Amino acid sequence: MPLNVKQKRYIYAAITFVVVAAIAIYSYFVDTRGAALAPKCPLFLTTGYKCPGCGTQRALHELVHGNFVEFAIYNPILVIAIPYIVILVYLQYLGGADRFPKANKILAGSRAALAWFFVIIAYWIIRNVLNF
Amino acid sequence: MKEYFYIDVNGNQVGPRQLSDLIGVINLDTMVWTTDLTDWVPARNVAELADALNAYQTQQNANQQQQMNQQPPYQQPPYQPPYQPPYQRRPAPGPKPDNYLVLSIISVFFCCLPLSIAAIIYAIKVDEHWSKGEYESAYDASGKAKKLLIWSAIATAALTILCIVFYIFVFVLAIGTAGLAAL
Repeated sequence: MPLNVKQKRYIYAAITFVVVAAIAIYSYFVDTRGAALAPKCPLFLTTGYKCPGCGTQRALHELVHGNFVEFAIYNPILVIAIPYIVILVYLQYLGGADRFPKANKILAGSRAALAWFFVIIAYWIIRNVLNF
Repeated sequence: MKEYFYIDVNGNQVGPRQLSDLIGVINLDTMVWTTDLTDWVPARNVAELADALNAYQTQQNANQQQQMNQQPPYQQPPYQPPYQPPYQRRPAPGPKPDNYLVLSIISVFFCCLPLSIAAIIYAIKVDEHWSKGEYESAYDASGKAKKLLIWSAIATAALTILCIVFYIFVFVLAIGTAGLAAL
C-alpha cells in the first residue's frame, strides 16, 4: 500500500529506534573481550590484518558503559563515523533533507561519499601499518 | 578674360559671363555671342568654348564612370546563427533515488568490506549521474548499491553464523577431549 512521506518517516524512526536499542542492549550485556563464542572478524582470523570494522563490538560495549576513552581506543574511526551516521539518518530518513537542504547536499552528496571512500581505505591501511 | 553672352533655355539673353561661368551651364548648341563675332553662333562654333565644353563633358563622363566603378560590392549582412534557446536539462522523470550512503558506511563495519566499498562507489555514482541529468544511470546505480548492501548483510549474517558454529564446534570438541582425558 502506498505510504505518504510522513508515514514513511514514522516507520523509519521506529526502525531506527529498534535497531539502536538492540545494539545498545547487546553491547551492554555482551563483553566480547574474553568471550570465545562471540563473532570475530573472519578477515582478521585468516589474514591477520584488521579491517575498518575490527574492534567495533568492543568499542560499542565501552561506549554503552560510558567509557569514552576505551571506546575511542578500540576503533577510532567510530568517533567520527557514529556522529556522521546519526546525522545522515536524520537527514536522509527522518526528513532532515527538507529542513536543511544545504547540509544535506554537503554531507550526503557525492563529494562526501568520495571523501568517506578515501578515509576508509586510508584508515584500513594506516591501521595495519601503525597497528592500532 | 573674354566675356560671352548666351541665350538660355527660356530664350532670354544672359551675359556677360566669363568662360568659367559657362562650363556646366551651356552646351554645344547654345547660341552665344562675343565681341569677336558678327552674329550669334552655336557654342560649338567658337573654338575656345567648344574645347572647354568638350573637356568638361569628357570629364563628366569620366566622373560618372568612376563613380559607377567605385560603388562598393554588395555586402552580405553579417552571419547570425539561428536563435538558440539556453540549454536546459530535461526535467527529471521522478524523485531522486536514494544513494544508500548511510547504509553503505554502516556496512563497512560489517563483515564484507569489498561489497561495502563497492556500495559506497555506487552511492557516489548516483549523485554524479543525477546532477548531470543522466537519470536512468542514476536509478541504475541506486539499484546496484541496494543490491550490494543486501548481499553485504547476507554475507555478514552468514559469516557470523559460521563463526558461532565453528566456535561451538571447537568448544564441544574441547569439552569432548577434556572429558576423554579425564577418563
